[in-house]
Amino acid sequence: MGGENLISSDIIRGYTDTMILFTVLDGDSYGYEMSKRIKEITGGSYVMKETTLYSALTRLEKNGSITSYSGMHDGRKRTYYSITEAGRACYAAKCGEWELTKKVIDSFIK
Amino acid sequence: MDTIMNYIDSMFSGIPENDATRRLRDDITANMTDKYEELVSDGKSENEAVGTVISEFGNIDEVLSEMGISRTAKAKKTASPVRVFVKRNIVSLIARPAAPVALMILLYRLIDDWYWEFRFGIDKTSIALIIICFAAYSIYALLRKAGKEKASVLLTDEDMERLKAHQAKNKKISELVGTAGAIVLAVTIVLSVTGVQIIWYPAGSRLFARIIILFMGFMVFMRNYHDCLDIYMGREPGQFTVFKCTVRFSIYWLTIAGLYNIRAINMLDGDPRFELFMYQFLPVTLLITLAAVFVSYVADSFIKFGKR
Repeated sequence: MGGENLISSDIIRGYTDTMILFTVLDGDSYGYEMSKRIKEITGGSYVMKETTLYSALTRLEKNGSITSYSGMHDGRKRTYYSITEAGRACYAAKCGEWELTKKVIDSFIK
Repeated sequence: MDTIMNYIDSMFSGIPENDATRRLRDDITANMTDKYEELVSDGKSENEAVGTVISEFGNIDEVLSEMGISRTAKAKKTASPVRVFVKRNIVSLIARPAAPVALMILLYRLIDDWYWEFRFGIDKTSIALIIICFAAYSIYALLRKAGKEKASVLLTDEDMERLKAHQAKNKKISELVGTAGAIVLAVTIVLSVTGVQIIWYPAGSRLFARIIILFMGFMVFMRNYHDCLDIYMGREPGQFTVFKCTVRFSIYWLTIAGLYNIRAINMLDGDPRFELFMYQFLPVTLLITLAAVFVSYVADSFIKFGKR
């Protein structure tokens, strides 16, 4: 429900997990780094709320798509997340789903 | 930073302590600290950084329900990080009303001259007063932009969103009012200084004068409304009412009118100006003011502003 976001929150809600999985595809990461990357990748068009991020992380960990461990960064204790095989499969499935959705909706966009 | 810590404290009040919630809290604290530090090193003021971090926080209950945790019933009633965002100081108290006051002086003098002299222009003293007021306000606005106001406490998420929406919306109105006011002021000064007079007496141009004055009156009221909104939104969002705004406006207006007319007390009875003042201008002004206050009081029952 961000004031500045012009993207429909209904649509985004379905892909927050996908965005987060993307950030750990190539390597482990932690909370702030992930939300920062998401903002950068979208060129500032989408800023994920802290709580949205953390809800998604909890959800993804619960369904086995990611695992977490404690690490140190800049002298601070942080929780790092890494993607699992199941997570990669989920991600791939979501990508396929989006391609299909995009194709369907594109047929109606002038 | 303390503000952020307080915010997190209140967010987590009433939440049972276990490994999961402790970890969540540590992570969130680390995140917000990182974000805050990065914003500050990017050049944002403490205020802006705190505001950004908090407004981008979201709703903690979303995470809790995902984790299957609920707050204790007791905490639900007491947890409320609601309060002031900006501390008022003596400078802002004086400088802040300066802009609407300046506009009101201008408006008053226009009405006065129209009433007595049928002339569109104002005296040099008033021009000086108006310029001083605008200067005071501009300095205040500049200081404010530079972040000299201290952030004391926090708004809730919804309040923060509302404040931002309000500021965005009012930016356009205040810019419009500011520009229009500047134009009217400039024209008035030029006319007064060059001695060019626009006389209303020919019936047609009187209408023109009335339109200008009504427009000015509207602009002045809007400026005052915007100002009041700003103050209350920054302080206690639930406390703003149109009634309070109108009362504030009336106090300024009557004070200005009163001060300008102090000399009227010395006028002789029988002087037609005195008669006009006592039996027309004064009662009409008081009547209109009372009517406006009454209308705003009634209007408030229809406008639920910021009420929770």
